[in-house]
Amino acid sequence: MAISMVRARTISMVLGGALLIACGVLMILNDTLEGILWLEVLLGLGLFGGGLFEFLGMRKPLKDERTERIGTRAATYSWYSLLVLVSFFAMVFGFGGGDKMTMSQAVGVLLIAMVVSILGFNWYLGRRGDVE
Amino acid sequence: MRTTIKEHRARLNLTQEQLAEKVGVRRETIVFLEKGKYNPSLRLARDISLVLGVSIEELFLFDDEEEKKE
Repeated sequence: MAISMVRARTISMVLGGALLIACGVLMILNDTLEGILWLEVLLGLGLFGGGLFEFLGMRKPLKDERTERIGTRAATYSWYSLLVLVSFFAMVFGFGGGDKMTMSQAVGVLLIAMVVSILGFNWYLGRRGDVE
Repeated sequence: MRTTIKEHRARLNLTQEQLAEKVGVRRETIVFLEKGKYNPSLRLARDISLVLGVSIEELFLFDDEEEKKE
């Protein structure tokens, strides 16, 4: 029961992550935030967020101190990377780079970076075994 | 850090999965513990020592302690 629930939530997270990345790619390629894209982003967020905390070992039924420690550190690294990325975008737009990249493309890049960075850092730290 | 969890687990015929279930962690955590790649919390160390019936000092051997003994 517990295992099947965890599996379902992992699938939900993978589907949500894929949907968010797809939305990000569409934003970059089509340069738009219009249409039903916001609805897809919300759906992706719901699916991704719903399974993320179990995946990172932060919530029962499979709460685990090592996975939780790694997940917490991965979230911290991900947040910091995004802070750097947002600051970079602020500089790009601040120095008049708005003709090179539009706001919707920047949002698309951020959406992809958020999903990829937390999963990437979690995978990397998980392979190392610990955060020390 | 080195651990003797594997030896004590084998003595009690426990699989990694069974030990993980008894102390409430995922099997991967036991795998990394046995490899000495994960520093557990004091609570987890105590839970494992209770299940395996040995003291924490016998389970976890630190390199600096071994050097001191030598």
